[in-house]
Amino acid sequence: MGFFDLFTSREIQCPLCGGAESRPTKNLIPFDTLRKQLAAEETWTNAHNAPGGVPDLPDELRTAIGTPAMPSLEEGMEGEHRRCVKCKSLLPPQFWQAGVAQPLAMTVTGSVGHGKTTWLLSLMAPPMSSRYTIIGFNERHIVQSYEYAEPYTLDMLDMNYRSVIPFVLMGCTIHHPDGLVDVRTMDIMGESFTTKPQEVAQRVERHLTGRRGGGGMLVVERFSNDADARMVPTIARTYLRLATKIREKLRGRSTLWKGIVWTWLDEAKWSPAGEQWLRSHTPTASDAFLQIGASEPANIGKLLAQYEKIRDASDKGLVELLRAVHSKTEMEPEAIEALIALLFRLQILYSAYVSDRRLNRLEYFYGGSGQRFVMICQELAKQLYIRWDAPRGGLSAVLTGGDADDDWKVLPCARLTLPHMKPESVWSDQIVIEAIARAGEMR
Amino acid sequence: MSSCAPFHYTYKPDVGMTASLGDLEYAKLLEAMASGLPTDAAWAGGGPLIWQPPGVRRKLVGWLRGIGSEEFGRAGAWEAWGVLVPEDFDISYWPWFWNRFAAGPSSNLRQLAKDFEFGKREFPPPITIEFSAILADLYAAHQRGETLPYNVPLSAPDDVGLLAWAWLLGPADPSKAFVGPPRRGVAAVSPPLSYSGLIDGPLPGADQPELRAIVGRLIDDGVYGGTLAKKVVSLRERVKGAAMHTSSDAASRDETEPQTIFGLSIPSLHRSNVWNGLITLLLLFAILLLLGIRRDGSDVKSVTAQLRQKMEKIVPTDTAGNSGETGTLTAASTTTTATDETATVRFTPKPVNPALAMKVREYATGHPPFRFTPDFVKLAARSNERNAKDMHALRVAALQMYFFDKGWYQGDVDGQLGPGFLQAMRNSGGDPDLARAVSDDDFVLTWLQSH
Repeated sequence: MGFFDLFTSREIQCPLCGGAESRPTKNLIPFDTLRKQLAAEETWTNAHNAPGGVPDLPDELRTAIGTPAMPSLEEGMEGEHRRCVKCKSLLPPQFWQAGVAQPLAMTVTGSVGHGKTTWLLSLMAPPMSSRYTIIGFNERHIVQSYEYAEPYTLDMLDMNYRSVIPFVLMGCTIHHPDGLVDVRTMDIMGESFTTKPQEVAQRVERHLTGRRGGGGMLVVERFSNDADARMVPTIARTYLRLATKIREKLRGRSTLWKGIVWTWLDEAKWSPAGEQWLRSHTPTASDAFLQIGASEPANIGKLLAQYEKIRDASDKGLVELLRAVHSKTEMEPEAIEALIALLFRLQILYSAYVSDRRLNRLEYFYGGSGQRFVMICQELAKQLYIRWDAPRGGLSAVLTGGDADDDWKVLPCARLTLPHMKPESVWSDQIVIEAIARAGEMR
Repeated sequence: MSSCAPFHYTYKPDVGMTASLGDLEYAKLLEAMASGLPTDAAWAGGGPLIWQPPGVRRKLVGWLRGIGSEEFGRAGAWEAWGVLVPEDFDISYWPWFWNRFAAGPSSNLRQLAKDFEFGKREFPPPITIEFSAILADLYAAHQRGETLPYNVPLSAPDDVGLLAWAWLLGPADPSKAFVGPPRRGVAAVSPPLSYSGLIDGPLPGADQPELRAIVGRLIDDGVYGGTLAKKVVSLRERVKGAAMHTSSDAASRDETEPQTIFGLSIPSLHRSNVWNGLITLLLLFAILLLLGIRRDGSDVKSVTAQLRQKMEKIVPTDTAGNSGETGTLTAASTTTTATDETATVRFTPKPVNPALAMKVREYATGHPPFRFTPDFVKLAARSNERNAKDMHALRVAALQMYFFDKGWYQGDVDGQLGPGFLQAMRNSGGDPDLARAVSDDDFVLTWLQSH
C-alpha cells in the first residue's frame, strides 16, 4: 500500500471486481427478466466468470418454487438491496453495511457433489430445531440470512440443485449473546481452480482482505473411497500460497483461519479391522469404543452409558485414541474407515446425550465439558483425514508437509438418516461456533 | 488435420461434467444454455444446438438434452454431443444431419465429424404446413425489432425439427444464427440465441398464403431429403420477400386504432388504404365530370355501383376482427403502386393439397426404402388441378405403392418406372385393381388418400 493510498483507499465491497461502491436497486423483477438482463451485462458475466450467460432453473424446481422475484438491475433512490456500481453484482448487506457487528469473510470451495451447498446452507439458513447440533439455535442465538445468492435464492439452492455459477456471494448475520457477527461468504466452484487459478486467487484475496475483520478459507471434502480428488491438489496449492500472502497482509489487523469441512462421514463402514486396531491401541476404553463403533446409528440412544463412561474418565480413553491415531503406527485403510465410523457415532452420541438429559446446549458446550469433547473429536477428525487423504494426494499436504500450517482445522460433518425421519445434519453448527470464536478473538 | 472435431460432454455423479470427446472448457461455457432444459419423458430427448460460445473461434453444432434428477439424484445435469467446427466453416447443411445428431451420443461421433466435414448429408427433419405461420411470426418479430431469441412454439416433440427450418428460413442470417433446444423458460445466454424452442408457446398468428405455398413445396421436397442446402438458402430470399410484405401489412394494421360507433365495433381500416381509396374516388369523379357524364339515373347507378365496388374492396366486409389478408390484399391491389401490383400477383391463390402430399410422404417414410421423386410430391400437392401431367405422376405413384404393398415390387423404388417395376407389372397380369389404377383418376386419388 502506497503512502497516498493510506488516505485515499476505501474498503472493497465487491470481491468479484474490486468495486468500492454500491447503489440501491429500484425494485424486484421476475427471475427470467433478470437472467436475460444479466446475460447481456458483460461486466456481470466477467465478474462471475460466467461468460456463457445465466442458468435457468430445472423444470422440477420451477414447479416447486415458482418464479422468484429478484432485485432489479435498475438503480433506485433507496432500498434494502444494493448492487456494485462497477460490475452490477448484487451484494448482500454484509458486504457493504457498517455497524456494530463484527465482520468476518469466508471463502468456501469444494469439488462436485462434496456437499458444499448443503453445508453452506446449514450455516446460511440453519433449521431452528435440530437434534444433532452442538449449540443449536434459540431466540437468543439465531442466524439471519440474506435470501439472495445471485443469480439464485437460498430456496433454490436448498433443493439439491446443481449451481453452475463459479462465484456466488452470500451473507448472514449471527446473533449471539455477546454480540453480532456479519458473515460475508464467497462460494467458489472447485472447477474454477483448475481453469483460472489466478482469477480465483485474486478474488479470494480481495474478499478476505478488502474490508476490516478476519477471514476464513474453507474447503469442503467428501469422505468416500471413490470421491473425485482431481481438483483437491490444485485447490491445496493455491490456498497454501494464498494463506501465506494473506496472513502477511492481515498481520496486525485480524486473523486468518483455515478449515476442511469433512462431509459424508456417515458413509464410513465399521469393520473387524477397526475392532482389532482399537483392542491393541486403546486399552482404556476399547470396550466402550467397540460397542459404539459396532452399533447402528438408529440405536445410539441405548449407548448413553458408554458415553458417560468415556466422559467420566476425563476423556482419557478418547485422548488415548487420538494419540494412537496421531502416532506413526501403520493403519490399514479398513481400520481408518472404521475409526471414521466410530467418530461419526461419537458425534451423534454427544447430541443424543444432551437431548436425553435435557441439558441446555449452550451451557453444556461453553460452561460444561462439551467444548472439550468437540475439540478432541475435531482433532481426531484431522488426524484421520491426514491418514485417509495421504494416498490420494489431497489437502493432507497442507496439514503435514514441509510448509504445513498448524492453523488448519478439520470439521467433521455428516447427515443422519433415521427410519421415518427427515435427514438431519450432524454438527452443522460447527462453523457458527468457529465464526463466533474468531469474531471474539478479533474484538 | 481435420477441421471438424467431435465432442461429447455428460454429467457424472460426484465428478460433474466430463468430456469423453472434446475439450471440457466448452462444457463450462455451455452450462447456462444447458441448465433448465425439460427432463419430462416427452421432451427429455432435447434438441439441436448451434452456438458459438463467447471468446472462442469455434461453433458447436450438435444436440443438447437435460438429465432428470431421478437419473443422477441432482437437478440441472445435462449431456451434449456433436461436432465442433471453425467459426467460418459453412454449416448450412447441418439440418441434413438431423437424424444422426438426434440419434444420440452412442452413434459414432468421430465418423459423424468426418462426414460433416465432407458434407455427406442425409435427410433434413420433417416440416409441417403450420410452420408457415410460425415463419410469418418470426419475421413479424424481426420487423418489430424484438430482442433475441425469437421463440419457435413447439406443441409436441415431433415439432423440434422446426427449429432447423427456422434457422434455414427465418429472418436471422444463418451464418450468424444460433439455435437452442426446446425449453419452458428463457434461454439467457451470451451471445443470445436467434431461435429458441418454446414448449407450448403461444400459437402462431395468422397464416400467409405465399409462405404456406413455399412451405408446402418444401414438404414435398423433404420426402426425398435430397433438397440441397443451396436451394433452401436461395429460397430464403423468397420467404423473406413474402414474409416482410406480410409483416409490413401487419405492422400497418397494428397502427390502426379500433373504432366503435354506438358501442359496436367496426372493421379496422388502414389509414393509408382509406386515403388511397378516397383519392381514387376523387379522381374517378373528376374523370367522370371531364367526360361530361349525364346526370341521368342510369349513369348515377353505374357510378354508384362502381363506387360501392371500390369501397367494398377498400373496407373489408369481415367484421370478426380477422379482416385480414383478403381485405387488405384486395385493397392493396386497387392502388397503382408497383409494389402493390406485385403483391396482387403474388397472392393469387392456388389450389393445393398438402394433405395428400403428406400422406404420400408418410407412406414413403413408413416403408423404407420406398421413395418418390421430388416431382411427384410436388404434383401431388397440386393434385386438385387434375391436369394430365399431375395425374400421370399420381398414377405412377399409386401403382408403385400398390405393387410395393403386394410385395411385387423389385428393384428401385425411386418414383421412376424402372425395369423392376415394369417386370412386376408384366408379372401381375389381370389384377382388377391394377386396371383401375391405370385408368381411373378418382380411384388413384382415393387410393392415395386412404394410405
